[in-house]
Amino acid sequence: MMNELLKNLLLMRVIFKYYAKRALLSVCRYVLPVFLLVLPLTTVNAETQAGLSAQTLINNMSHAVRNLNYDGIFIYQRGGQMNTLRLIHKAEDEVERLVSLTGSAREVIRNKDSVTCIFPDDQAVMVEKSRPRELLSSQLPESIDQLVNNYAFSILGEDRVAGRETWIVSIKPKDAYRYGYRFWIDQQTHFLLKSELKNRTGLLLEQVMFTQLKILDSIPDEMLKPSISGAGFTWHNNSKDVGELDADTGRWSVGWMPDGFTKNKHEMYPTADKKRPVDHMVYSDGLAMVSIFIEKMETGSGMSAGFSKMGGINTYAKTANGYQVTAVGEVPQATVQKMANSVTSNQ
Amino acid sequence: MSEEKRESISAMLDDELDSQSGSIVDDLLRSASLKDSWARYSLISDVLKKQMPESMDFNLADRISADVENEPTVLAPRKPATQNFLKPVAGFAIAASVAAMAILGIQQNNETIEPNSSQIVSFTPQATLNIAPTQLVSSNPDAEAQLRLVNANKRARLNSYLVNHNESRINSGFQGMQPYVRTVTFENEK
Repeated sequence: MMNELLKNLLLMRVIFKYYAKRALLSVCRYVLPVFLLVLPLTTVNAETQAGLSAQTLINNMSHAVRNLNYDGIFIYQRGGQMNTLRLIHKAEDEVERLVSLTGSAREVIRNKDSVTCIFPDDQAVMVEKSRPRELLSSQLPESIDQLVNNYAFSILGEDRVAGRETWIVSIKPKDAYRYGYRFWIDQQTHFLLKSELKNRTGLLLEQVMFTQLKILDSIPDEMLKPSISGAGFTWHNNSKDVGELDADTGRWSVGWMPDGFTKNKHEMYPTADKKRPVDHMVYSDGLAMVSIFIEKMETGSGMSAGFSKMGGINTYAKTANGYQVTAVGEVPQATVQKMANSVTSNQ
Repeated sequence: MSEEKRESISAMLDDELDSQSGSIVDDLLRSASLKDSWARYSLISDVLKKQMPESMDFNLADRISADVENEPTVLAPRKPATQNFLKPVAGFAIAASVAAMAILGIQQNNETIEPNSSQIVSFTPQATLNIAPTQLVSSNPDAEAQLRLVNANKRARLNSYLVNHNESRINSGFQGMQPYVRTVTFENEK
């Protein structure tokens, strides 16, 4: 009796083992290859649950940053330094106020007509003319398609910033002449809550992160007024009598620029001290942007030469035949230097 | 001592040494003149960064090499040599630490020193090679005032450029980080 039972049990074990082995084999043979095939496809075409691609998210983000009313506090960090700032944005009049909450209480207020920079540490106010904003509804998806040649887009996953759920979008440059970006985009509003600028080796150059964000129905005008009157400050006003000059678009050539860069525009206007006209040419690959400034110098006015750096912005200045050429852009040093050095006069 | 090695030491102090130049540490521990350079550059760098210690140890490199000799050899895998296109151009690496403008009383705007002002820096790489630390304290009030004015002009010009660059950025279609963040946070030298 006992023996019978043991025999049966043994037999059942052998049968079970046999089928378990068969099952495992068939998993390896049929299921696994299909799984392995599908796996890379799903990571390459990474999309959010809502079915949004990285490019669409970037596009929506650009709209959200512009079209929402908000009052937020964020941290800006570069190198070993950290600052806290407050940003108030009113969409309907396109008014924006940016205030430093740490260090000197600097402010920038931008509206349709002007950009006012208040520097309490310098006892100075600088007013420049603002450029009217263009409609971006039509231009963006097209330019994003072109970006794929020079950048790799991907969605890295989800994260939480300022108490909100975000998607992380990565944009990696395909050569050494531009920087990479990482954006944390609010899942609900598509607002940009955190952003990182990195060089090609992955070194973090600067980052911005909101710690608090209020999306509001409307923004009262009092919130957009400067907290400093600017009385007794030195005013550099360059916004009123700026008649834009006719730029001679064939006057200067930039002989070298990274692949995918094209000339967006060429403007000419008087400099802040209203003495000399300055040529301003803008080049972009759709994401990174480089400005080339050229002005004739007078002796003793302080010619500049060499590099300087402001977080993610690099500048390179040189002088040639009495002209000051300066390249400014969110690109590596090599790019501003090579572009500035390739400027030639066509006269 | 080759200029290349001096540059490497300067780059190392600025944390800008790429992986290919890793052997400079070995060279440094072997050569007495390189050790001197290291001590001098560190001192200049500290003066520039206003990070002077209360007392100074000029024989740090000697002591490190003595310690290293007493340590067991560790075979660590070497990082693959990736070409770093972003390595500063020759001369600039040196300028970052041993900045010529230190003598002139200008504060340089490279992140490795004091990333405060937004002015453009003038320098000649050759000149920076021959700076002795003692020259750093030279000052002439008139020349300084003159330089301050010239620098204020340069800074005003660059600030104006930056605003105009930002304005173009705002209309580029793509809008990431608020471009005026930099204008607000970069403080000028007093």
